[in-house]
Amino acid sequence: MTRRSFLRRGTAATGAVAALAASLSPLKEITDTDSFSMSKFLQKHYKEMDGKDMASALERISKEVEKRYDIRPNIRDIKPMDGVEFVYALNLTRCIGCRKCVHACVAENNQSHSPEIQYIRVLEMPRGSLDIEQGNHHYDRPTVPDEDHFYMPIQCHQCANPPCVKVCPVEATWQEPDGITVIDYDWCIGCRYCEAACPYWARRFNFTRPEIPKDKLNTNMSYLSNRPRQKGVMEKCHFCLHRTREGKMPACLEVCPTGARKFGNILDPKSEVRQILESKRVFVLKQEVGTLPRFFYYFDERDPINLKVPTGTEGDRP
Amino acid sequence: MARNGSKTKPNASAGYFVGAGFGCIAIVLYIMGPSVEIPIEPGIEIDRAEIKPGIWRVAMTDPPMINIGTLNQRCSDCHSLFTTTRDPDRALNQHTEIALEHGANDGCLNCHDKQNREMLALEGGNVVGYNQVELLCAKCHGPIYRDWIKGSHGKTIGYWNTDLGESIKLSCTQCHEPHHPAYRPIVLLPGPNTLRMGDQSTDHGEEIDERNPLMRWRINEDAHSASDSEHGGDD
Repeated sequence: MTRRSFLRRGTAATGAVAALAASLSPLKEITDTDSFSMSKFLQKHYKEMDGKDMASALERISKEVEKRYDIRPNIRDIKPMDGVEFVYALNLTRCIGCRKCVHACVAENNQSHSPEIQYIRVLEMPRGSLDIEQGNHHYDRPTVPDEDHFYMPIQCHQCANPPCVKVCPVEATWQEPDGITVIDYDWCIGCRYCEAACPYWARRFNFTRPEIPKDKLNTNMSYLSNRPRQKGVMEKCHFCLHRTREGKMPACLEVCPTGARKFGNILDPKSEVRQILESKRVFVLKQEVGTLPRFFYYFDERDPINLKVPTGTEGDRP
Repeated sequence: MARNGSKTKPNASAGYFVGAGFGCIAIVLYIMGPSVEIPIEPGIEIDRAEIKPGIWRVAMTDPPMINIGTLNQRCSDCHSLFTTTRDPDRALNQHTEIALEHGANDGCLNCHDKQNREMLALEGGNVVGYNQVELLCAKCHGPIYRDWIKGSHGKTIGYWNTDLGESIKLSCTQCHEPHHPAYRPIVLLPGPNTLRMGDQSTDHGEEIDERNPLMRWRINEDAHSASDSEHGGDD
């Protein structure tokens, strides 16, 4: 090799290495808790994991949570119960739009505080219309309810024919036997096809690294529900499956001050939701798109807000 | 370079430029690469007391107790000593904190039993304890009572699966203040800040906000269609 060719090739090689290093330099910003781990990279799809694989995955997640939040979570993989199909019913006559469900959901399900991610959106709708285009997310009043509006919370409808599942190119989201559509956050590639496919605007994307204050972390976690998510994955309402698969009610229901939210097993003839579906005139949102939601809305026969108290003959509000 | 198969010698100095070019790109990338800041609206922290789950208000126990001074007193401690007239217009000289706003139901003894103040009055002189207050309410609110029995009115907390834990169906007075059964207006929690495109806190859809990029597009389209119609376009 001549001195000239050595210098020529050497300069080119040095420049190329420097360019490669510079182009990879954004990786410096990845902090240690997001770091690449071989066990995560080699982790199987949720449905292909056996008990031992799941145990090691849960152990890895526990360590990651402990490292970032200084607290060891109670994380497990909860399987659906036999003979259970979850259904949600929401009484629009009673909902007053106080948004307590929104924030109870954030607290229960470890959604990002900054940037803000919320699963439930509450629309303020003009009375006499069900045109969602007229709904307003950003209503702000001293108190609610407003007499000229009604309030319509929307979250994942856990469709029986879910378009979000059909479009997922990697099968990172699927419908479980109890009707809950779940996401494997370790399998999601963040393409956001599901977000585009959902007619109910139920899916949320982590554009940046989600931030949760250390003292606000809910340590009662499960693999498919509220374990902390990472940047670049989708998330959505999962009917609080870490609670509901253990027999409890979802967090949004427990906090509702008016009892507008109803939840239960539709296959149980004695359940509240079954009785509501049998005795009330329920409807689903965007029935024409054929998604067969498991989330039903209903109104009471009489509208208490229009009954002026105490001038009416019967103070029946709400 | 080896076009036509002829062995032309490459320009000997080209290699230096390749290296220098890569070096320049490296410097530019290094300076510009990681400095991109993604604007993130800080999240709104909610006080945990605002989202406390469970029972909305504390109902009367059975038998009912009332705190007078520092002592818990049974109703009959006082009411066994004197009688009450059924006169709705008479001002109360005790229980003055109660302002009865229950529609047409404006008399104490419509609900409270005259003889035994620790019971509630049903029709025909029958009485029922405070732990079965729904039977009293059902005297007037029949359809609501039916809905409450079936579960479409009211609130059930605890466990939906009674094999695994207790299901607690709240009674009427665990949500409604019986002397003012209508819910008072509630202070609402803050709305989302990530979806906000301009101030939409006022009525939606009447004014076009110029800060909103989609609305800017609509302004242009409106202006465009307006100029079209001026030129006689009637489609």
